[in-house]
Amino acid sequence: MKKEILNLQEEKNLEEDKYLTFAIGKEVFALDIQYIDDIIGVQDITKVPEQPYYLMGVINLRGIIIPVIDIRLRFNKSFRAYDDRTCIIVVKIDDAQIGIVVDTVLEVINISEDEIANPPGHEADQAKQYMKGIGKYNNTVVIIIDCDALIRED
Amino acid sequence: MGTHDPMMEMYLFETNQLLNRLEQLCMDSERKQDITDEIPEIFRIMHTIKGNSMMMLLEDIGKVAHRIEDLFDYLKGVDLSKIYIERIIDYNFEAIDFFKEEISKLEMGAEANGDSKDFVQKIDDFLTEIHGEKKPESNTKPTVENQKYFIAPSNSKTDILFRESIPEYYYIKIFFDDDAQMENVRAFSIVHNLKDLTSEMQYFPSDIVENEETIEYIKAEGFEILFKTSESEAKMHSYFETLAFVKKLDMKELDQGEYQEMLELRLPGEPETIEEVVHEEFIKTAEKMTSKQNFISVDVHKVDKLMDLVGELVVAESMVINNPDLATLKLNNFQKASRQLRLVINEMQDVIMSVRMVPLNMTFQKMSRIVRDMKKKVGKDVNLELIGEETEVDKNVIEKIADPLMHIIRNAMDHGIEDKKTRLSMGKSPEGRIQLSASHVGGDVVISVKDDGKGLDKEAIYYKAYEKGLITKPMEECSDQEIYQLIMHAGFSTKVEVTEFSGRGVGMDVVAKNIESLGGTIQINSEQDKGSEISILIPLTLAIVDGMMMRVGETIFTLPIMAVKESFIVEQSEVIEDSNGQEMVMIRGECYPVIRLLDHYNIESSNELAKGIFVMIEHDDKQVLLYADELIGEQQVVVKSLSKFVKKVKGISGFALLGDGSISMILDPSGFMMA
Repeated sequence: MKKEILNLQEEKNLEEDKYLTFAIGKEVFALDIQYIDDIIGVQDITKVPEQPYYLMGVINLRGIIIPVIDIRLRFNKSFRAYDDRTCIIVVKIDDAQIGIVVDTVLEVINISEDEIANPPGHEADQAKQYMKGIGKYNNTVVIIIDCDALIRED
Repeated sequence: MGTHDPMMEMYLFETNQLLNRLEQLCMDSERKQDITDEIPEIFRIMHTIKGNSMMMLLEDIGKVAHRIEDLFDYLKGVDLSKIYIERIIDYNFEAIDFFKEEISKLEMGAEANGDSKDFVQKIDDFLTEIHGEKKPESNTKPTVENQKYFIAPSNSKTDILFRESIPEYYYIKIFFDDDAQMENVRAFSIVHNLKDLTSEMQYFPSDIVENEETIEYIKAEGFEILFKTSESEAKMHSYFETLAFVKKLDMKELDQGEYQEMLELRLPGEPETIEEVVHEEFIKTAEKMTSKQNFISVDVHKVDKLMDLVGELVVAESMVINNPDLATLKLNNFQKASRQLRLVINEMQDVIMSVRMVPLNMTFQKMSRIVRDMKKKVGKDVNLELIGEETEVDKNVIEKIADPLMHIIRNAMDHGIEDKKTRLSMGKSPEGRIQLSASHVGGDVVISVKDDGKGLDKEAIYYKAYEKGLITKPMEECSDQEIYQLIMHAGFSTKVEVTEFSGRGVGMDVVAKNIESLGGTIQINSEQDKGSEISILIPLTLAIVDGMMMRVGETIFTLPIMAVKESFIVEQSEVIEDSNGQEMVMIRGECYPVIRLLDHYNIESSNELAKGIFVMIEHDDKQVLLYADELIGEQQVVVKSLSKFVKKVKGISGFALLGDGSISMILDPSGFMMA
């Protein structure tokens, strides 16, 4: 009986602790896998007028039109031209999909909860407000992104 | 809704239909001030409601229906003097309201807990009154009084006592009350509920659901059930005691042998042939049942899904037919086949669209009820005329149009129509007129409310709006339309005092919002002392649009073809500028403002010198010229709403997928009109 409970717990943890990592320049970021619907290569983005600077436009994802934001611009980093390695990570927030353009997608990793630290308080980095925490993985550090903050108005 | 058991769903569905019919009958009889023709049908409806409600153990509903039934039973035989009609109809409406409230409680999954006592008393008093001192003769059907009151058996107790009981066999024979009605349905509900308690069951007659003639058989011979159960006898007894309308009940315990014997005896033989009893009412219900089977109720979501799929199909079709791989090939047969496909898809689209279409008459009927109720309360005599009730609109529209219409009609009654004295002194007929009409005009449905009241007071509206800072320019510069549109602002009401029906100024802005969400517009016309007319224009469909594609830089816009008036090429030298720098083009002696989409939306473009084209669009009788690089052609597109993560852009109503999978923005003509 006890073992069963433990197993269940473990399974839940497996689901919960998975993160997808991606790179922007040399920095590595991670997204909770529960948010992620899809990862696609970069495709034609149709521009939409009168939008925030980081909203690149909309794409056609198998018949559904979803908006796409460029995470570099969102983090106030310089724009980098898209290439073969550029990916769009499709996440689902509040039941609506949105694509996030990243330099490249790396891998899926496990970070258990006790290996996640709160983001440092003093850092004045623009990206900081989109951080959920800092995770340790294989002696490196990844920044865990707060998906909800990405779509929040400034 | 999905959580109800099927019996309850059926009950709610049927009762709702009956109530609507009932309301209509009452309205009709009130209009002609004569109820004679309607009495039998009202009686029948009440009787059915009573029966159904009692079966569902909804006593209060049943009691109210029963009282009205009594009343009408009595009315059947007497000469009606007009004095009573008003009151009879009032009672009827009161009963309808009571039913509706209870039904809506049930629909929400709550208990129907309304109390019928007062109402029953009222009808009783009324009956005594019209009878004089004499006790009503026909009021003796003792259905309600005979209704068995029971205390729910406490399950837990019996369970403990008889937990170890072994399967037992029983035979039961049930006779229903003489006036129970629909014995077959009642029998079915017994069997249905019994299923949970028994492990094996046979009942006779066995075709109670399909065969209406079994009613007569059950009446004469009783309804027999053979079953095997592991529940205690006491529990079974208490179950059967809860049944309504049961006159007599024989229950016998059997051993297995006897059980088998009886089963064999019953099984091969159908119930003895029943002599055909031709009963007028009976045939009618049978007819009703067969006609009902032509309809199925479908979850709206499924229809929505189907609609989406057809949309995808339209896109997929044009992806195939306009496939660039085929562009250079000569494919006669392919062309032929694809034309065929197009036809089929078009038809399919029409059919699915029509599935969602519902006639407006229910909504209109609701309005006449409102007028009726208000008439009494505000003391104005108003005649509501309904035109084009059969006009069909999308289901979404029906849902959202009722509230706005109600507000508009209330306004017309309260603010528009004058009281009798004023009307007479102005030489108008003492009876006010409101005309509610619906019709299809082009791709729109137009629903308008026209009254012959005092009309809108332009000055009062202007000053009020000025006071509230809603408008700043002097009155002389405002067009009539502009001033009328002001009443659609939140918190605007010119009426000094607040009445029960209107005056709080929350009406018209709700109207405006609801209509806007349907993609519709409101037009107001008014003439002082002659009346006003408020028209609502709603597009027939919101899902698929016939579009005209135009290219601006790299961007492709889709313009609803309905809005396009004409397109032409003009030499740049003919474009003139007014003092504000607004570009204009003079066509046939009239100046039209020009909007260059390129500048308007800050679109990047490589060749600025491209010789573009002007497209004249029209909305609300206003015209604007849009300037684009070129027209690409016409195509049906599927409208996709703006994602919530995309900011609303004025002039863009949504996105559309084009045949090649690329995305186009759909322009909303109203967004370009200059105030």
